[in-house]
Amino acid sequence: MLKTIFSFEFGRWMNKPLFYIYAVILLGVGALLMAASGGVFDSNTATVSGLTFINSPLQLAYTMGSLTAFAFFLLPSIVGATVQKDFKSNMYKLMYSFPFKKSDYIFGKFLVGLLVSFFLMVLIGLGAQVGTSFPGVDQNLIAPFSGKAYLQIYGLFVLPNLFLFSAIVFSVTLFSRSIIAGFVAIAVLYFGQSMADVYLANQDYTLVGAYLDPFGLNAINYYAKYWTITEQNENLLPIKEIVIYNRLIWVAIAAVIFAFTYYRFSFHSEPISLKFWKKQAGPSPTKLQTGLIQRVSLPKVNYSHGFVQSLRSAWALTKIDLKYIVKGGPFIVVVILAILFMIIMIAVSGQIFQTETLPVTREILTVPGGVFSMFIALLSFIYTGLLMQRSETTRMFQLEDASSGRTWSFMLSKFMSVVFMQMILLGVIMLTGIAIQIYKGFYNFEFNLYLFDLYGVKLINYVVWSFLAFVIYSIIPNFYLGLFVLLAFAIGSNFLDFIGIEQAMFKYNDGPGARYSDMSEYGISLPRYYLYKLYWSGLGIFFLFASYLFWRRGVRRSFKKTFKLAKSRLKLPVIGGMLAGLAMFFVLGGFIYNETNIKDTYVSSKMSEQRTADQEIAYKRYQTMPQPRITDVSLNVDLYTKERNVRGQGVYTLKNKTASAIDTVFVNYSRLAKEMTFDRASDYKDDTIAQVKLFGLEESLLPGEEIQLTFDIKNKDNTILNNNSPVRENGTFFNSSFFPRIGYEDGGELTDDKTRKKYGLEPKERFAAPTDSAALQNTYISGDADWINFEAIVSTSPDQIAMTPGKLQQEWEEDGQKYYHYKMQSKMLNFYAIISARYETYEDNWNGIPITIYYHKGHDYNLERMMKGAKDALAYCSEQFSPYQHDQLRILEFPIIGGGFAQSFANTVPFSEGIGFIADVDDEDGGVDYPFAISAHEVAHQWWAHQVIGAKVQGATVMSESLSEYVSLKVLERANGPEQMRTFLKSALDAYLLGRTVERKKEQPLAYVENQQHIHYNKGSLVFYALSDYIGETNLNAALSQYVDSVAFQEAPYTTCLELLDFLYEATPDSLDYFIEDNFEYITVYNNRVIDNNFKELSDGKYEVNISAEVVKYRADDKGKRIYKNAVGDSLLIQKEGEKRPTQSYPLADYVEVGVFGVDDEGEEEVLYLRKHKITDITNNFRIVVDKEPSEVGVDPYNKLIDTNSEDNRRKAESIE
Amino acid sequence: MLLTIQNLQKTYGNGVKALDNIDLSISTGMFGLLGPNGAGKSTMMRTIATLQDPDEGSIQLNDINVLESPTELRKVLGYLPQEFGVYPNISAMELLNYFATLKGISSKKERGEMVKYLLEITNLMDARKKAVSSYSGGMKQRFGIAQMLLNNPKLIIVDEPTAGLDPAERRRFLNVLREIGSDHIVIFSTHIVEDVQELCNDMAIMNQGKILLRAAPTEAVAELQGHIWSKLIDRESVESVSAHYQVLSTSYNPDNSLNLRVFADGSPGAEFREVQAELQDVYFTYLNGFKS
Repeated sequence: MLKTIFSFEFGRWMNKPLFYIYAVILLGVGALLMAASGGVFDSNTATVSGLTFINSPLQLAYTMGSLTAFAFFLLPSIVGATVQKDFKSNMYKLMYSFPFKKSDYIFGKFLVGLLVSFFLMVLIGLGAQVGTSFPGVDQNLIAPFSGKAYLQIYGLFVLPNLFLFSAIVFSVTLFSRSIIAGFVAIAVLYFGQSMADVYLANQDYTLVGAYLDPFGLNAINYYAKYWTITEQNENLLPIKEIVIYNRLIWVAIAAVIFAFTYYRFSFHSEPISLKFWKKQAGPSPTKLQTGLIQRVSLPKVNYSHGFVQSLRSAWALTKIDLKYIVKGGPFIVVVILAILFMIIMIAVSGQIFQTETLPVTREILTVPGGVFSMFIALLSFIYTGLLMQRSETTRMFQLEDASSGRTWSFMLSKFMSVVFMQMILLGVIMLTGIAIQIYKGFYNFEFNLYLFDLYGVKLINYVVWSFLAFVIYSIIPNFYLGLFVLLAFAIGSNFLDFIGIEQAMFKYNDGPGARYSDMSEYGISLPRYYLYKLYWSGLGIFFLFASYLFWRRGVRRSFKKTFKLAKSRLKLPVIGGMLAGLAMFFVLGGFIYNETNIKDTYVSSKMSEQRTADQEIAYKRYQTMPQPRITDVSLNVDLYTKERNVRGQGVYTLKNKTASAIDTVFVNYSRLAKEMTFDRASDYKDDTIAQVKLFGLEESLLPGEEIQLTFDIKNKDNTILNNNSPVRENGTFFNSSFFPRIGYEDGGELTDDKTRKKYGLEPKERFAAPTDSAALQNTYISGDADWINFEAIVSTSPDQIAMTPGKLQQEWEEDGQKYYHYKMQSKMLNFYAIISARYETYEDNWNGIPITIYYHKGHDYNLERMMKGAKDALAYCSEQFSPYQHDQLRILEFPIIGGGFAQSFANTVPFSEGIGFIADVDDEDGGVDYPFAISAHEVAHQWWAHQVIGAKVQGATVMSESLSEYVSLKVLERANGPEQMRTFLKSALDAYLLGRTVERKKEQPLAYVENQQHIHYNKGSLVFYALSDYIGETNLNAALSQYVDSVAFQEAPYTTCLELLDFLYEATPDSLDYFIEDNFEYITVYNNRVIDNNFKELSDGKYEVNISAEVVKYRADDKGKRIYKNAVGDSLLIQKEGEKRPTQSYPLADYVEVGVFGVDDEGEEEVLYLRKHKITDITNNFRIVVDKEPSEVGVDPYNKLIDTNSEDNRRKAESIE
Repeated sequence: MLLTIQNLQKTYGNGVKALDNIDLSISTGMFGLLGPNGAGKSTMMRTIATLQDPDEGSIQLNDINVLESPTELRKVLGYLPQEFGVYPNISAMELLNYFATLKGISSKKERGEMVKYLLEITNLMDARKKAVSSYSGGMKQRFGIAQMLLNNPKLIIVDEPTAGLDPAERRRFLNVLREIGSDHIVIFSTHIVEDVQELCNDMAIMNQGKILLRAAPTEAVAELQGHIWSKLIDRESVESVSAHYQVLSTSYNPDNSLNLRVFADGSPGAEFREVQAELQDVYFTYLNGFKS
């Protein structure tokens, strides 16, 4: 019988058009995605390039993971439908009378579902493989075909996941008899994966994340997250413990679900429905058994069939429909998940260095952004479909449709119900948010912000999705296909970029988002957001009226009849509505198009590439042409905050510092400063695309001569879409890049060699080598000046404070503007910012130097920490390196809209509201006090950047970012003790290791860093911290101080990291020279771990600890390929029993810390032994005697060295007994 | 009041002709539409009730062109479909209130009065707070009547309403129907002859999409008087005997003998005796095409 059912069902599937539709879609999606990633569409859009193969086993696993995950949404219509159709057709009532067993039925149906869907999954892989060999795919991105990779992926992931998802869908459908339930079950699993992602992203919970992921990919990621480019390209999947456990766990779960389903199912059983309350059964009403005749005379009532009555009807039905939604399973499940998700998101993420931010309303409102938003859209899709069909499925339509209720009022009620549902879901966000705030003891509820953001801003986004849902379901009456199409719309529009459709106005419901900042509120983002949403609503209204035309009334009609009916419904109000919608769509669309593509040239990413290349070709030769240097900057800047305009004038004094006469001046101008003149006769050529003016001086500028360039500062008028001014109503912050720059700048050139080749350009390095003497003429901050004199008068609205580097000379009010005159009194780089906002101030001083924090009202949570960071850094740097060059220091808050960073200008530090100001530092729990740390880092820049500035060559940022980070670490350590160091360094290590896995060009050693953040910040802080530990903080700082002495405020040529290294080598004993070489000049990674240990108590009460540890070191090339051999070809090698390959190491003569730890009376960790041992072998045994009972042992226990697995450096101490 | 149906045609996708050129005019009173399952009755009812479009033809109620202005008809239409469902877990009162709104009773007070009255006459007052989806067949049918009457309809269409009702329910149902049918057009489809016999002053017999007979029941019966003959036969001879006559029906007697009823212009044989014609005989006569 099993065979009969199987072949019957299988045959049915093979004859179904739906199956072939699915097959074609999945094959196509697989092929297209791969081909697009391989650069097939390069001619339409930006060049696809990269170092990683798009089909390496790892990449393929991820790609197949997401593709199959998408395809799993089809399972309810395959695995679920095989059983659901029996219920739908009431066939099940007869089932038990058929001559087959339950096992035949269950296995037959399930196997067919599994087989059919597995076949579809195979097609995805086939598509992917075919996609890699499309003509036009860049074969440099393609790894050789590996059957083993496909086997691993299908065997370990696709098939088990299919089994899991199918089992769940099968079970849920069998018991609930509803396909929707299967769908919701899938959504729940997706939710599980999102949660797993949240966990995985938090260092403390990576293991939880690895197990929790039902797709298993997070388990792969657990091992592969630090894989370098080479490893990603060459390794097979890491089939190790956690991966195997994850797979076993989820397959077991699937098996249990299936077994449970099998045992609990019977043909007689009633469907299980999700009911949280049961009504008390009342007494059964009595039946009147007599046939008494009764007079029927209906009460006299008035009937009205007007518009208002139809609205009443719509409302009456809305109440019924809404009740159905909120009591329904999918809704309840999603609400519960949403609440859980918010709680977990806020509990687990939202952290920087493991320190949480305060649950301010603005932050809470960002949490439901991604997944939650998807859930609301998903529920809207589901319920629009369900409501539209409900009348038919319940067979109520015969009563409703024969009544005088208007068709549009039925439709309106469905629409309103879905919108109300969306409002309820948004309300859930608000309530959960408030609950979280209460739980965290944060009582500053901003109800207005909640209500406005959720209902005034976010709601319309979902409403626009509902419009689409209505029209799709009207056209596609099959609920399931309709839902899939809607999902494809929602997900698929992201992929339009691939084929060169990049503008939001061509992607349904796309558009710029509305971002809120406490300081600048929504600012200009809101009108823009509304404009796009109204534009899409126009199309949506058209859709809504169009779906009215096709609205089913009465029994379902043939295609032809439906059209005939639609035609008859096409009456004036409907035509009017459709036209109004279209008019709105086209008028607003035309407006948007005019603004973005006609008034302002729209630059696609392809055009942008082309332009960049053109500019390089046209102007590169000016790079070596002598240019005058800016020596003085004088600005008059008036900020009109209400109108968001800026006006004013600037004057540069330029000096010919070269030995030859200059007759051509190359000026890069910006939108803000276009008009300019020299104080001697000149003419110019203007290239408005490159924004370059080439001035020909009638009389050459002789060596040593000066010239003045005067420029107007004036923005083009702001429009709703084009913001042509950096001025915000509150919280303006922009820097010197808005003013003219002299000379050709190579910073904007294309960096990717493949892209360069496409435009006929030679390959290039991102930064010049430190030996390039031309490059040494410029600092990495500014290509047109050395040190400048700076003076500025900045005006703003009277309720704001305007600020720029320099000391305040004078302030006054005039014509409704408040003026501030600043003048810089010490040497300064050509790098400044203009800031203005309504500020509160917090003042203090260090050694008589006033320090002021300008902050947004209410953001006073961490002012003391930030102030302390600033003071400590001032103290540390002055003491250790050189005096502070200014006589004041200011920290100024700027809106999150401007970014989440802080930046140091001469005596002026703009600091984002998103970091620090709202941090919730938990001093007890080892979280890093990052308001303190960031503030210290920025102040350290006053030395490391503003005194010592590197030339624009490789390694330049070591002297600014790495050393500022080092200072920040040191003051943090002094203030808060070494415990925070571990957390900080662990984060830094993680960030560095993750950063090198996404390298776009090549990884550089620290001394040659090319502005790569993970190298100069994260690796830099690790290396300097370790160096100070190895050679001593005093020694290191003395060397740094000598270095500062030698290079601070120098003129060109500027210093390089190699010069810094000379000072460091000088301060380092020869035995540790290797450390500098390894960490600065090469990429070196350790793999240190404790293999085994034991301890025993000795007769004198002391403890003998035996530790067996492995120390492995290797160097890596710029793609992360491991190198074990030194220059002369030596390496260490041991063959361990039971292992296929020998363990290798770069030759060792390294000092590595070995530690033994105990627990003190307060339960805190206590160091019993900590010493650096010289290591020359891979395996090492240490015999250490300590005074107290050990609890933990470790090799490099504080993770001072770079190590891809920092967890195995320590182990619990084990007693020998 | 006059409902005129002209040249009504409907062929389903599978080739079944559900309505085959139907012409019919129906005036005030109870009109029975009698026919076997699959005769096209429901299709015709749904078509009149604006739930389905015919391929061709026209339907006119007084001055309302039904196919062109379905809303106008719906305002005066009371329709009780053969098998209807309702949204689950909603009480009779709530549902009736909803339908009352839908059918245009704008005042909340009047809605309340109407609903209350209808609950009373359909004897659903006690069960008004129970979900209609949990009602027994008879109760559901009574609910159907209640919702049907909300708009004080002029044209009432009831499709196979008595199928599945117990005798008391059926009786009660027919009584209510008669009460309301006195000054309206009531079209009543059924395959149960007794229903028509008891209720209707006018009727049509329909099969395979065609109207076979259009007459008042009493006249139709009168016309057949003298043409219905009966004979007692035994089980074994059914086939052989039947072949020679225009058989209307055969029914068992308690002693396992059979009553054979045939249609014939004169006495078909000595063993036959003439019997009183009944409406059932009319039905079978026309259904089998013994007379047209």
